[in-house]
Amino acid sequence: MKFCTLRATLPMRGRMFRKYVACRTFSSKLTLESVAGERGPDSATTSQTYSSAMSNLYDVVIVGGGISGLTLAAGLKSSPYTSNLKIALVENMSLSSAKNWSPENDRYSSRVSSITPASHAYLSQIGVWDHVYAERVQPYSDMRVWDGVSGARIHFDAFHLGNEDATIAFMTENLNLQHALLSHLNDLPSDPPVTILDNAKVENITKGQTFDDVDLSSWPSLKLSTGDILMARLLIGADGANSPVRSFANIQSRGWDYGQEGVVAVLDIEWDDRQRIAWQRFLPTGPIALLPMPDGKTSLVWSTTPKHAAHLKGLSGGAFCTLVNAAFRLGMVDLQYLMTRVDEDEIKNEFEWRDARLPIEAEGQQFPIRVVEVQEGSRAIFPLKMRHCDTYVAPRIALVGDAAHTTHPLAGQGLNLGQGDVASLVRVIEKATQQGSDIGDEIVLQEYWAERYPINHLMLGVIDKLHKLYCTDFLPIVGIRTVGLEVVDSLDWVKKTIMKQAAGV
Amino acid sequence: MPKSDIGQHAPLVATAIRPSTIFNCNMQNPRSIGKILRLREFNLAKSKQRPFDTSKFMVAAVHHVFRQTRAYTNSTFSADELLHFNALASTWWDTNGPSRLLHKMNPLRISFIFDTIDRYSIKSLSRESGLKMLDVGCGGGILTESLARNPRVASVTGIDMSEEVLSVAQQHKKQDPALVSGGKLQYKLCSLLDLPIAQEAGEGQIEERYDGVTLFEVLEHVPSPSAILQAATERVRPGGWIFISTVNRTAVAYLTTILMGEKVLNIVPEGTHTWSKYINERELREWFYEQKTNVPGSGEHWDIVRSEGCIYVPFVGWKFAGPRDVGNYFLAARRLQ
Repeated sequence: MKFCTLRATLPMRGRMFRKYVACRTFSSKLTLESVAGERGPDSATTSQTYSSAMSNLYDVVIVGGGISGLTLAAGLKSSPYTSNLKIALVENMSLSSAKNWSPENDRYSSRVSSITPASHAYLSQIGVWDHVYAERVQPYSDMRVWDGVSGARIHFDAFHLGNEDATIAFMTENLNLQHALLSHLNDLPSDPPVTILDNAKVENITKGQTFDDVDLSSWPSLKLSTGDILMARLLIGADGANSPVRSFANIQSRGWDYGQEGVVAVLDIEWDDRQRIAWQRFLPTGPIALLPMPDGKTSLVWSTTPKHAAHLKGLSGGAFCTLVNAAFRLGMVDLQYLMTRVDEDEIKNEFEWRDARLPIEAEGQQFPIRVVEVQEGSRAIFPLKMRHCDTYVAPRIALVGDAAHTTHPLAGQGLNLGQGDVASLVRVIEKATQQGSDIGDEIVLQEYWAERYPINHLMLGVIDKLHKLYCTDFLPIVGIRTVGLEVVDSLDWVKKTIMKQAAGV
Repeated sequence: MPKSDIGQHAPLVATAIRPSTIFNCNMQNPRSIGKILRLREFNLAKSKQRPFDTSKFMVAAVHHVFRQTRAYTNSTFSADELLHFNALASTWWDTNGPSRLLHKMNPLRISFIFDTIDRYSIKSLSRESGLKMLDVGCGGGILTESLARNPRVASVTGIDMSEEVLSVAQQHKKQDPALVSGGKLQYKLCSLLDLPIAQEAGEGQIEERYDGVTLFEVLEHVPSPSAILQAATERVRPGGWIFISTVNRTAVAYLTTILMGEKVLNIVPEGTHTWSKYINERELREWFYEQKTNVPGSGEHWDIVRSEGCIYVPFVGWKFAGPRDVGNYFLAARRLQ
């Protein structure tokens, strides 16, 4: 038996599940046909000393200017041990809209995220949270979740459960975070500053060149659409679910598509009761959630079948709001009937006389306050899937965030797992620079993977099983999950543990 | 006793003398030669008097079973060891290969060096940065490269006897532009005994002795550990350090490093270690105490400031834990004068 590493002992998952998809995902959008086999040195092996290419050498190249990539750059630059690393960040879209973003009065972006206390603590620690527009952040400490089929409820009340800071999570727009990260990077007095290359698509990733005096054949070499060539001691893939860096590293990503799509929107509620409660109802077609935002707005995340999602997107604003209200109040039969209707007035009437039977005091206590308006242009759809990589690291390559794992939005963990990855990777790189190791060494990076993989695996597994448990109206399973939920609801210590796990602390 | 008689009795040496004195086989040092001669005389006389000694026979038999009864000559051991390490040269830098445990040990070595310097340096005597280091038995350069990247180190010289392994080290150095352009790292193919040292630094001359000499996993591979130690001490400037790591010669060490490590789990390449060449922590201390501490007329004074046992935890790595006289251990000695 050879050496024992975690990698060697990973069993194959997926055999047990129907829709097993082992995908080496190649992005269809980026022109990376040449990536697959190209491992040899660049064809231009002219005899030159590396000093001519020295300006293209970077210690860390981060591909992806999303929140994970930017947080990694900020984390590395904020740490005294790693602040003198030469870092480049490559993003194929423009970052100027995020850089120059300022809050629009009464308009919110529908791309919002729930920031757990752990992520919030890390962002505060590296000094990013100071740049966030606080008036666009909504902390909430009350969450009410219930079963759409049986009505069993669970109530997470951070204040009454006695948690120290009594916040379950912070809702904020992604643009708010991106802007804060970019302005923090701008303000940092570090030398050298992070080289941000936006509007630069990664056209090709190959192995580096061998020069006369230096052998850089193990260094990944990126060719950008702007014509720049970057060579990285450590290449970070923070480039989302269809990561080209992951393809280059030949890392397998395993998982399945849920056959569901998420509808997001920004909605106005009827009147602001200042309670700031997060609501989630599990329907057999998928969970619907309303998350509190400032200024009497809420953010909707409704996971449902593609047919329903397309139908919802096409409805008029009034009909859409009525259906959202109905999804939180009515039984499954009524809801299914309403989903087939198209006329706005008809939907409204049908909903009103069913809703009249519900007690008025339930409003704001058992059901969210009614939504009355959907913000123009805020409705969007995205497909839902679960993916997890076998390993997050390869020689001179590391994956963070969505490139490494993707999950269902029902628990609001996707972004936060990425933040945890970033914090761990920064710690590992710090340790390596203190010890004088090469930060691209696989043995150094494996520590990051060994720390994050079990945590992410557990969380992804739990979310997936929760989703599968609640996506059915098969009576025995409904019975079991109802009993289970009600038992957990009556046990404060269990709820406290669940909240602590979800908070990531 | 005439010198020629010693060779005659060489086969008896391994069995008739207490294992701890095998270590003191340094024929150049008059104090140890006297001790060994007296002991040999004593044991030979005793073995002639007594009838067949069962316990001694059992010791010999046990040693034979573990193949310890090789003749103790310089050339045989050197050739064996060189052959072994030459074969490992190509996989030295494969972190998932046979040298993985060596790579895993590197953080421990670095933290040992710099923690010790931070904690036990004498301000007036020792340098805390701008250090000049010598890595004896550098192998493929795992530790040497880490030292070269450290901002507190001004220069590192790595020496090794194996040409193939040293060329692997040179090749790997070329892969890091920071090391190539930094100019802090150089390799030399020679033995420590042949490494030249400057004379006592006079006025205005550059001090050429080293601030730190590392002998990590070296003493249990050389034919004459005390010669190497002596040579190392000569190359350290006052206020400087010697850092040693090796393995105790105990049954537990055999079980873990040779039986489990090499034969059962194959996490250490077979033939890397020879149990009879292991050195006990006590013996190392005694050597320093007898040779280097308050020895009148020698002009040098050393003390041992730190000695820690370490263990390998599977799936985790090396940790400082466990007693210092059972398995692997690290030892740091400081030159005061």
